[in-house]
Amino acid sequence: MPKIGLRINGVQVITEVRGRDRLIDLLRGMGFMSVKEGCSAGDCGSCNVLVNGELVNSCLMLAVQARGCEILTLEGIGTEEKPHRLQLAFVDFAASQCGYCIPGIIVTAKYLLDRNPNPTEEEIRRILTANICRCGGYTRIVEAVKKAAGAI
Amino acid sequence: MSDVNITYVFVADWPAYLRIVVAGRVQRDYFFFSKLITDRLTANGVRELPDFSIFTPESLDEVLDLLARGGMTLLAGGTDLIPMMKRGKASPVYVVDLSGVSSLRYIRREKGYFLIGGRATVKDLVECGLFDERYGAIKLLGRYFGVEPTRVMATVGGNLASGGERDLPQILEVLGARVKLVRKEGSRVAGPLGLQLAGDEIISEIVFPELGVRTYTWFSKFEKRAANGIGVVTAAVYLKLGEDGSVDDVRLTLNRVRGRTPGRLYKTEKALRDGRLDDDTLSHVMEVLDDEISPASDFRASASFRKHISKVLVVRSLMECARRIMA
Ligand SMILES: Cc1cc2nc3c(=O)[nH]c(=O)nc-3n(C[C@H](O)[C@H](O)[C@H](O)COP(=O)(O)OP(=O)(O)OC[C@H]3O[C@@H](n4cnc5c(N)ncnc54)[C@H](O)[C@@H]3O)c2cc1C
Ligand code: FES
Ligand code: FES
Repeated sequence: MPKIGLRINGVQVITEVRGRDRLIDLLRGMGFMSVKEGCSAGDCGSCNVLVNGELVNSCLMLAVQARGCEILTLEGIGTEEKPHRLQLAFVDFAASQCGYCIPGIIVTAKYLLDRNPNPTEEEIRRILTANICRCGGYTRIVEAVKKAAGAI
Repeated sequence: MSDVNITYVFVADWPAYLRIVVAGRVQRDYFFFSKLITDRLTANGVRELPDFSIFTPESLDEVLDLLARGGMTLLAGGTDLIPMMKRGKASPVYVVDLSGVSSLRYIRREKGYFLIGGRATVKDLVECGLFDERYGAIKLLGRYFGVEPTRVMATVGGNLASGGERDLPQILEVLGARVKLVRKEGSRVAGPLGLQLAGDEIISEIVFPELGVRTYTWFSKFEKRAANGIGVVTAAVYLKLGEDGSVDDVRLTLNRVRGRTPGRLYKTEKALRDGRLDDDTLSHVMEVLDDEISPASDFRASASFRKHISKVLVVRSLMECARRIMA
């Protein structure tokens, strides 16, 4: 059974994994419950996390493939005491309905803002095609990302 | 060392947690898992993949040795293989993970050719900065290929190996690419469309020549959702115009030429060659195209709709190329 080391939200982790364990399995098994399983096939983005700063579907990556990598989940982006400006904007716009898709959406939005601090609405909508919100609250989600980017 | 403070706490029976504090400042946090964390997965309601053994080689030689043993399945970006495993359509016994084989991840320009490593990702292609505007077909992958995480993860080799209606075989075919397949006992070269790999082969490299003057390439996809992987119709075009605006050279591919098989449109290409892209020629060319293809119907679109859209995309793509060459 491979033993791997990786950093999750800034914390060094050393663990054994089985081949079949996906990154989402490892993260949820460790209690990072923001990482949601929706489609298990790369379509919905609910499981999105950053791996070395790159946007990844954690349902399509094996845990062993993340060896030596730096992982960022929603838990590492902000906390209840110290929310990220994206999270504050989502609260302001009541952009979350059932909330299932929101962690993945905030990770995608963070990835966008890290690369492109002043995105256009078109760019926001384009990158968010990576995420599906079944409640259909896209308008407020896009507004919230715009606000976090300082455009509103 | 009196100011070094090591905290060692157990959270339940696992994980073991270690915090190193020097002079009152946290230096590092460690978690150790003595027990398999996945023991708890069922309790979390996560559906697992079927079981398999994993190998994590770091060089091409190691990969070839493993493949020579037989019964191995390569894993690159996982965007095809993992969903297939989830659906029970693939159940590999031994999986060889290519993520550590960094020597297969490159894009270079050398002596008039582009060389692309089998493990280069779609995002690497789109963002490498080596392709100028004539390589529109490659640039448009940034718009039409899956979504951002798909482009981050999916590899060129994996896309070619998956076969069927995939974007890169079509685009690489119009670029005149050759695919290098290696195994422990040697190598061979094949075209990008309809690749058939032996169990012990790996796609190591893709090579295509630089485009010449007065050329352009284009790729377009008609899809139901902006984020969809498999389009209704995809078309790739390479066009070279002479000084007088007539067609010097052209290569066309569609995702469904006969049934569900992607391919070249040799007859349509022939009808275009040496002619001009005026209305008369194009309407004749569209009749040839109509005769040349017989796409299969499925839940995404009927055969007649696919035929119609195929013509629209081919004409539009040709006109895009021509307009940009003339500009
Ligand atoms: C949401 C989503 C959207 C998608 N959209 C598109 C799209 O728009 N267009 C498109 O064309 N595809 C699309 N796909 C399909 C997919 O991304 C590709 O086919 C992908 O390129 C496969 O590459 P991979 O590295 O992920 O391969 P993997 O899934 O790791 O492997 C796929 C197959 O290729 C084999 N393989 C991998 N690497 C090699 C190699 N170097 N040599 C030999 N065999 C190898 C594996 O053994 C396996 O059989 C999409 C997929 C998803 C999940
Ligand atoms: S669960 Fe990973 S993309 Fe849907
Ligand atoms: S808020 Fe319910 S799925 Fe997006």
